[in-house]
Amino acid sequence: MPKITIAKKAIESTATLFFFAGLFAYIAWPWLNGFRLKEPPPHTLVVYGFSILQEVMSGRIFPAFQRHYQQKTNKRIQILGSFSGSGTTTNHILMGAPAQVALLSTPGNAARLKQAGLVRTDWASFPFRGVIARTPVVILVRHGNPKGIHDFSDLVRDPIAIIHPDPLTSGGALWAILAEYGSALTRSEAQWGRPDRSAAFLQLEGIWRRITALTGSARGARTQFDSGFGDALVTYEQEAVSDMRLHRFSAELIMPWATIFTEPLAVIVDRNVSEADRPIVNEFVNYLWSDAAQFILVDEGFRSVTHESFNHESPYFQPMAHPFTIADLGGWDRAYDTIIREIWEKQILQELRP
Amino acid sequence: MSILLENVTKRLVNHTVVDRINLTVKDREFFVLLGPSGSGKSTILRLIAGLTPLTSGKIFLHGHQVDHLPPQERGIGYVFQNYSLFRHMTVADNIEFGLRIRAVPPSERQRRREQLLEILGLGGYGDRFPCQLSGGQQQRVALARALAYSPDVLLLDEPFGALDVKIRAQLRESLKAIHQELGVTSILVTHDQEEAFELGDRIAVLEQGKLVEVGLPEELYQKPKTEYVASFLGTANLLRLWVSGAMVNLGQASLPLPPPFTSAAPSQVDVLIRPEDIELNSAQEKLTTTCLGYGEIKKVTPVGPGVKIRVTLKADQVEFRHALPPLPNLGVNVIYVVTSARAYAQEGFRPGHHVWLGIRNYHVLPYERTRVLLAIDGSAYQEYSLELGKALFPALQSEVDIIGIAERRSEQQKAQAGLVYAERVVSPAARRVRTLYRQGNAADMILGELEKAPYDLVMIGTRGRRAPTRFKVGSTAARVLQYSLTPILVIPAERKEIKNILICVTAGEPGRIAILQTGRMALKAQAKVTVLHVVSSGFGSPAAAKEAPVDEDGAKAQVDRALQLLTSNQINAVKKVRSGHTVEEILAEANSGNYDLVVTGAYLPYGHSSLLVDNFTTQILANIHVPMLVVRYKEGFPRSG
Amino acid sequence: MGKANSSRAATINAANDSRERAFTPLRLRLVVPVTLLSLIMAPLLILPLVAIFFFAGRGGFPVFWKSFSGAESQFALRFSLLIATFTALINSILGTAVAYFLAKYRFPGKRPLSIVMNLPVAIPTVVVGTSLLLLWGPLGLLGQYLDPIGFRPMFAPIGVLMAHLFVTFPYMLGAVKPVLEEFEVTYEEAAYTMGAGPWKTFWYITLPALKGGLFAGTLLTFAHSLGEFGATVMVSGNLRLRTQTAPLYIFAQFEAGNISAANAVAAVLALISFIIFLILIRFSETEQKRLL
Repeated sequence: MPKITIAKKAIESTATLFFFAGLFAYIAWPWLNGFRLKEPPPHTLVVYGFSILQEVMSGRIFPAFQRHYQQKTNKRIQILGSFSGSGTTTNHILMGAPAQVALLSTPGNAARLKQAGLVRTDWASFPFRGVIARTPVVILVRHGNPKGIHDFSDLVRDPIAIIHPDPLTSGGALWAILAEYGSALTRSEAQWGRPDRSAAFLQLEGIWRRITALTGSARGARTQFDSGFGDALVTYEQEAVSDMRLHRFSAELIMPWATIFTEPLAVIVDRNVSEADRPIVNEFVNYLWSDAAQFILVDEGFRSVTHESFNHESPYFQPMAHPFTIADLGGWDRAYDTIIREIWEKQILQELRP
Repeated sequence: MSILLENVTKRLVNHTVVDRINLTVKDREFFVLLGPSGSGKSTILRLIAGLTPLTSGKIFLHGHQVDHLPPQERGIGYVFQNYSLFRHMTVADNIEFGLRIRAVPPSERQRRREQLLEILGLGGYGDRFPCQLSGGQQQRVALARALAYSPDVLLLDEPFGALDVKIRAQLRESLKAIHQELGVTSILVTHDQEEAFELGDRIAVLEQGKLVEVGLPEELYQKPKTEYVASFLGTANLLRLWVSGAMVNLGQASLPLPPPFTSAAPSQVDVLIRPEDIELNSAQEKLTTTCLGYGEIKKVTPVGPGVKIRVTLKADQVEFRHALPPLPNLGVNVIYVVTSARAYAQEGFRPGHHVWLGIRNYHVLPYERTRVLLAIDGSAYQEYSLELGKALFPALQSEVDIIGIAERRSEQQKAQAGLVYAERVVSPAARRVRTLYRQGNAADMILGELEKAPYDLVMIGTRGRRAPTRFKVGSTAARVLQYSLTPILVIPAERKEIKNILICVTAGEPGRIAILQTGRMALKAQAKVTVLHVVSSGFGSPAAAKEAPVDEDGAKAQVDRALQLLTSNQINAVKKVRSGHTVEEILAEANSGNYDLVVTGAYLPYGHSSLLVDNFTTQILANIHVPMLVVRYKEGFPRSG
Repeated sequence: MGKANSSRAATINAANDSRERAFTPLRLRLVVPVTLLSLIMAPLLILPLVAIFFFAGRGGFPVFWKSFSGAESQFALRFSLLIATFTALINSILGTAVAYFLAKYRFPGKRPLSIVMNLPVAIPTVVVGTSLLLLWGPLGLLGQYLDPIGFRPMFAPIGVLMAHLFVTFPYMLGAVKPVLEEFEVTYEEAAYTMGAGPWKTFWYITLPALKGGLFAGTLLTFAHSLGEFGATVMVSGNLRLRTQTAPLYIFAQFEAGNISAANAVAAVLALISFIIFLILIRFSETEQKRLL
């Protein structure tokens, strides 16, 4: 009997030993292996982006740029990316995250980086004032549209549960608010010749009454919607199109009668860019408006800013009746102050507070 | 001279754990430090080992001063009470540890380990872990481990304390054998007398961090020099007796005194009679030894091969006082006798039988010390007590217990701070100082202490705070006076020395003992004594008039006897006679003269309540401005020697 | 040895016999409560764990392997294990040293200090992350001076390590300190008297006695570090192939809708934690036996 116990104990200790030996061997594998590999790439580019750019950047544009750069300079580079809500990304960069290029959802985020002194190069000097692509805010509903939703105005109806990204951390959510408010302005202007602010207010308030879940980013909101929560999701068109491409789009895309074009933009975080890295960073930023990159963006569901003709290549883009842009609302700063700060934050949020 | 301690002292923040120990342990000697818990014996061992830093003093091992060395460099073996075997090592590894540290080659280590396992009867246990051994075996391993590297000195800290009696006895045997075989100089610390006597070549007895006595075991047992050793070792009948000439009287027996104690001066001695030295017989004629008296068998307890018999002597047979009362509830005249069980059975004694006792052997100890209970209360009077104490204690060779009493828990800190202060003030003057903290009624607490130990004097600095008006004296002093026979010293005024003593013999005549005690004090302090006799013309109050019988002739004779007693002891004594109202005259004399101490007696039945109200003593106490010693004696006490 | 063992074997046999005899009626009596308990506990504890493995294995091994073997998931897992290893190693040294001082020495302010040492357990890990950012970040108390000289611990592996050290420190302390407190000073004193200096004593006597607590503490620290999320998400910067730990990878992939990728790593992470947990349990059992 004791002998068996001893044997069992020996087996157990040996197994424990092997377990940890295996674990450490696994950890050390790249180093053990590394001697056989070629030199690691000498230059690294760090790109922080907001959530919906994850796949198009990591999966398509980064590899394409790496190839492009190697062809051009015969140098290998490594690109590291981190993707989360646009606000979160901005905060991370403010707190010291080593981003060299930031792809942000709104000009407001870019302004914060500039204010903190991290961004010195003015993105307005970039092509298209830094905007790399466009994608409208749309509504996704369940297959067969059981709730009969055709426009933002239908979202105010009672038994509807809306999934929405959180304006605190997500740029997409801010765009969505602008779309929800601005679409009513556009409609009233088309009907009566002048924008009706009270109608716009009522529409925005009605929609926010129906919101059942706020998530940190546009991407998170879609994951939640995909998991079966809610009747409608307010998000980027690109979110739906990228799924359609992969034939895994089970929802239905509703293009509102009037909606806003969101305009994600690229900025250079000069603080984290050494002189040695600057050519790569500049090359990368310029590459974003190259035909190759724009084509990839369109392929992934974004609408190109450089060539409208690219957009006709995609079979997924629906025609838009009355698109408007941030310029129609008086520019980002003004729209942010009047619509988001004054109306949404100070009035609607206060009213909705239980 | 293997181990030498010179003035070794260990002091903690406000407590001296080991106090100026001087000790020599000879080469190859087995030395035992014996004492109760808290006597500092283990600390001495730790000081020798270097495990506890020394406060002052020197330690030499084999002639080298080691007190500045860390334990690693002292070359000692140490056995702990809890064995402290390394649990993650086998027995063999434990034993070899010291050798491994000394980088002894493996073959040598193995040889030594096997040898030790063999000597200790642990052959074949080398591969075991400590947890697989019994307590006795573990302690053997600990012993082997300490001996492995042949240390110069072996220190054993209560090594058998955690073991049961039988295994303890076995281990003692092995230890003795090992010591004889290896001859390593050893010090054993124990509180177990049996262990000390069985193992020790010599024994040192410790009390409260002080070395009381060092000697051979039989010497310490039979002829101790101190009361403490006499009573600490074994059972002792330790009797405090008066010397008359070259003899002491104990019941019917007159025991001759050895030379140092024979003195014309009246004094007290302690007589130690071991229970084995008392003969027990059914008839006086059959006694082969000096007859002591007869008494009644109260209780018989088997001890080892013999029986221990408690006998209560008949009150009219012997009047004596135990130096240390055996147990308060057993009565006063208790004598312990140990005799062989067979002898006891042959005689057919039973509890309740009356037996005659004879003294086979006895040992005389000097009685010099006075035990003083000093009560402090944080008032200004406390300073008077402490000041007077500083003058008094050296003269009386006092062992002082300072008692601080908090009536409420909230006063505890204050009381304890007072104790620390008082201890510091009194320490230089006294032979020994202890502090006692109590919480409760002051008088009750003082009376409680007086019952526990035979104090010779209780000092109550003040007359008592917040004394209700119906008490002329403070409530505390009055109640202590009422219920205790211990002389009480009340100090209402400041005196820094005792040069002039007034003894009032008139109404409440102080007894012989009080006069003698005062005399001794006067002698030591080289003070002048005035014996006052007031030719009475009345007492202060009707109540007081009843309490002391007016016996003018008797009183005069008493004064003369007292004077004689004092002068015969080379004390400078004069007689003074006044006439008038007793209390007034005494007060007039006491307050006018340049006296430092007034001594008066209080002759009262035990627990007499009139003392609380208004009587001769309280009238004097209430109005006197000189320290006053009140000696009270109970009814039936022989009024003249 | 043989004699004692055989007698012990006899006791074990006797114990087994009596247990078997007593078990049969007991088993029947236990059916109802055990079933009830399982029904309550299943949706709370057991089924969620089952779900992970169910989803991870749903697409079959090829899908699992494809998700698992990707560079990002491999990096995340490896990075987490590496951070956990360093956290465990550093904390085992740091924790032992601190526990040693706390258990052995008396000094003013000891109690407040030991409370502060255990504080990370009570503080939400996200707060820990934030506080680290506010200290070491480029705008932080210390960071604003360190940033110009190029020392930027946040959003770098060193920052993740700092966060993990901070968060797991109390577990190490909690495992080692009680052992040290029970460890009687006489063991060390015995070694001193036998000639061993402080270092040898620590190496040969104190450390072996601590072995158990150290082992348990290291494993606990390792497991906690492996699963740490709250503080990591604040300080890591979540940079793929650079500072993304396995839990962050799982969260990012889940949020991005790549459930299979998330589940593959989650399942492996759960498996490693489970094995460590098993080892801990077995270890504490045998330790207790040895103590008895």
